[in-house]
Amino acid sequence: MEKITDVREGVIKLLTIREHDIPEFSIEPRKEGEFVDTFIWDGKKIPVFNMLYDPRIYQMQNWGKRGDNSALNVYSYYASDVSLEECIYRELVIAEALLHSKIKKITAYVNKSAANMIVLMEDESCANIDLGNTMAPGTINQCQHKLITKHGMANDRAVGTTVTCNQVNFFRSDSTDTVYYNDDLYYLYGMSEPDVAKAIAIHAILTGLEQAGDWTERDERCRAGVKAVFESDKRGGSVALSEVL
Amino acid sequence: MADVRPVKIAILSCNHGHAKGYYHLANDRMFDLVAVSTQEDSERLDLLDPKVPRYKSDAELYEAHPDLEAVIIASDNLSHMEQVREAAKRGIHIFSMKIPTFDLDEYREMIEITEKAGIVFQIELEMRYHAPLCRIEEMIKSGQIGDLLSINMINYSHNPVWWRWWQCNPEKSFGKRVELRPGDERFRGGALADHPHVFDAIRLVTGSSFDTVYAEPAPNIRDGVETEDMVRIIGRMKNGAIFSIDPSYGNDEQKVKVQEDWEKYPQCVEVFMSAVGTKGTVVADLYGKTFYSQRGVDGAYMCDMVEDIGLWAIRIHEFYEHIRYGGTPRVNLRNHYESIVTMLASYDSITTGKPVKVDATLDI
Repeated sequence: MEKITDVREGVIKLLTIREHDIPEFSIEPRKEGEFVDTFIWDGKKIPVFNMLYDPRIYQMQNWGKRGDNSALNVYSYYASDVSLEECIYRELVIAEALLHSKIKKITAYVNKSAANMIVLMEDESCANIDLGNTMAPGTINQCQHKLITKHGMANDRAVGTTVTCNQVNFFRSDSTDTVYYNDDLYYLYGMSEPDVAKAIAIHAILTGLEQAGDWTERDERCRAGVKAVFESDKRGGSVALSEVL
Repeated sequence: MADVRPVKIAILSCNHGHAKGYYHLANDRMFDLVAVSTQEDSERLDLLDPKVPRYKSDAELYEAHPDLEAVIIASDNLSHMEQVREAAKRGIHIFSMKIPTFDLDEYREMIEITEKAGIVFQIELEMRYHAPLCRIEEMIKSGQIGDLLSINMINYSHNPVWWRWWQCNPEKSFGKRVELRPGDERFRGGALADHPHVFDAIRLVTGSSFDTVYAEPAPNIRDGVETEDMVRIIGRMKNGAIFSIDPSYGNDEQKVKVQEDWEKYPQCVEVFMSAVGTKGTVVADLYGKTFYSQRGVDGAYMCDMVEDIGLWAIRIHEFYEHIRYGGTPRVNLRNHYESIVTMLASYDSITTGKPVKVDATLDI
């Protein structure tokens, strides 16, 4: 099977198989101080929220309804090659998407490589987020996003489990280390999970499946949210997002 | 076989959720369940051995059984003080549910009268008896995970209010009616008031005390409940580690009047603990030994915690040991005080909207 190894190549393949025209576009890797890549197309620069195209997170966005959500409970632990700022940013983007509301206020405690926060949204729902990044470089993110609503709950973990379930597990004869694979999409076989998510996100924007009109504004809000987390810890109290935006 | 001298014990009120967990003492070699007192809202008395005498009041029970040695106070939180006074006056050992009282004057009185009476006062905190918690405590205290940076705990459960009305009644649960915060229609006495064991567990595994707490409620997920359903607490321990606690009633349940076929969410109680250290991260499911089934009644998929085979009664057996052989229970009034004070500080944080410093100095 032919393997796709590049996000741009992946986007073109997805467009081609559905016989869309291939527009002029480029993908700018994230720069210093940025948390996501930038998609440049039609005179626009759009931050690529690939975390929203994790298949489980994507499904949960469509499951929750505005006004019906109470709380989002998140624990998310990362490898040490992911900065704490990036962990925070990523989870704030997800929180806004799953709760269908904007960040209003953040109260946080930070301790070196760990941060705990309560994020109050404009609709009074809360995202409760525990983060850390002390696992060995390359370790897969271990997380739970549990959305609790008046009509039930949705989660990216099965009840009775706490860690990521892998799709293909290889138990070796020469080592106790398990090898696992999580290939997401047949057409993009061979790409890493984050790259698959990027390709699908860009494909969605190009084909009108994703209305990314507010993504730039959300990027600014969540970057301000990262500042608010550290400011709250420093201040020993809550920080309204409007104070740091 | 050891010469066991069964303790003559009674269960008072039988309207606490854990009361029925002790009905089995009617057939326990270390206890002689001589009687229970009941009231209109006593729970699942159909599960109690019919040979065990039942009385309409504690007074009748005490009068009929003057040789009683111990009681399990299994009532609503508002009734505890009076029942402690009566038991202490009679020199009867007390096994208390997890909230002795939220009134700190009453709490101090409980310490004074039970110590003066020389009786055992043990508090039931079930997490203390979980082996996975011991493992995490050892991993932290041995330095296996490096310096502890954060410790986090989730205790999601059902809300029992449909079959145990007092559980979300502000007076019966919290002891008095106190508004949650200005302008909020809810009152203290809900999910936060029901879960002291998570505060206790964090103190245990860190070997530290709470320094500062900040708490925020989320909107209730149930209509018609006047106390908080959903609440989150974060803050810092005195050793510098940060913490989070989520004791919410986050798992849905059937709205039944009797606690039978009531589960709706696959696992009614979930308890997770995670610890971030400089040498790695622990992610643990403290209620994680589960088995999976499809329920016959409605086809619901269930994920139930497995029992500790033959050892479920470990906490009440500790009570037996202290009555017969002396010693101080691992959870007693003095060392539980800090957890109660921290819970009250969390409520104060909700009221004020600000972090609150915890002062658990006990001046007696």
